[in-house]
Amino acid sequence: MSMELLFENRKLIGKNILNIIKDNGYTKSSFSRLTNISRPTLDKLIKGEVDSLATFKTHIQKILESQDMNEEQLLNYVPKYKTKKELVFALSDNAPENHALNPKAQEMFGILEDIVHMCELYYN
Amino acid sequence: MKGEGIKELKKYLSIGKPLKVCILDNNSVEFLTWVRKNVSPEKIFSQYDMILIPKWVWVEVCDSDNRKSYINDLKHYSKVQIIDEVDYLTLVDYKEAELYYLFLYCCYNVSRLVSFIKKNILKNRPVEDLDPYEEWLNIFYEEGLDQRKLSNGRIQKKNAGEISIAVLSYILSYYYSGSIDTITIFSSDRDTYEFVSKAKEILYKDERFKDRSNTSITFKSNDFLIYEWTRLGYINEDNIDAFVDNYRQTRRIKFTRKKQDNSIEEQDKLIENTVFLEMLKDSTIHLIF
Repeated sequence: MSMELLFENRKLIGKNILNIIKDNGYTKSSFSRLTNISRPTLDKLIKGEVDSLATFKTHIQKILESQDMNEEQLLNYVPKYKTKKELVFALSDNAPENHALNPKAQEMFGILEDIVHMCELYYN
Repeated sequence: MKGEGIKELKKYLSIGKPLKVCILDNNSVEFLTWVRKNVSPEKIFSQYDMILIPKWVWVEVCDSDNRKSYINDLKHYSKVQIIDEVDYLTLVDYKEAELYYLFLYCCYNVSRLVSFIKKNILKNRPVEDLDPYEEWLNIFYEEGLDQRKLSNGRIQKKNAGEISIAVLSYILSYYYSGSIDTITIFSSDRDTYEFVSKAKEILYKDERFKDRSNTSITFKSNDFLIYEWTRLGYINEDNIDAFVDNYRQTRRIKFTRKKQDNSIEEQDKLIENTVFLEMLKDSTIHLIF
């Protein structure tokens, strides 16, 4: 399989790279260090926005080597885990910018947050 | 340990030989310095291929010259390595998201720390978007952990050592299970035990970890050591009362005891020295912590 085909499918390749990162327990930052690809370039690869074939080839080669994969495996990568809907902790803060909570309110909010996290702990 | 040192350690941990690894906590080192005249370090540590001390624990060890010198002497009996927490990333082969979960799970007993991690490290983003490990580790250490100033001027970080030991033990357990046979934590700190136990419970449910092979993590508390030393004859019967009196205080012990029909009872209770001395004579007892 040619690198040109991967380049033509670079949006899909980007998604697959992100899935490889997630499945293997990397972060974008640690994957960037592991593969020696700068973080901005890795972001572009993930978004499928690298427009130069030469650049694309160089970096994809580094990813293939680090993951011991070939081009075909990268193109046809199947995510290991289904995306699990994680609980999101949502906060609504309508206070004016630079507003400092008084210590009592801060303490109360701290307790409330702890209770929410305790619920999460037992809910799981 | 930086650069070459950590690479050497990784190489050593991957040689395939079934290694016996011991991780030391500060409170155990203190105890071992007290009993050094009775039980030599050689008897305790020569069976281990490697003794590891996380840097956050080493900082505490260095508050005492006795403890520091005890550790330095251990180099005669085993390979001793002090590991900088920053190097945990190399040990997990850059699997930083997994390392994040190990830290999170090892803090699960302290809801304030869980809140801190989620609010100030994860910041409601997907885990793959975490900031670089060195940055969030530093935020966690400097801002997440409670602190107090010691009489020697050092700022002590609450639970830093226990958390680091728990994380390191799971790194060894999950990433080097093929070459590590035993991981033994020398600690009498209940927090260390609880952090490791809680994390185990969550890791067994987490799909990222649950199906992976892992080496079990065991403990040798001070009470366990005394029990072991009496069995091995390192402390003789004539001296045991004085030994326990000098070096032990009432403490909660988790243990099992075989009943007459061979079933096993579990106990977790405060044991005074007089009761402990009786327990030492009972061969049906197994001390867990």
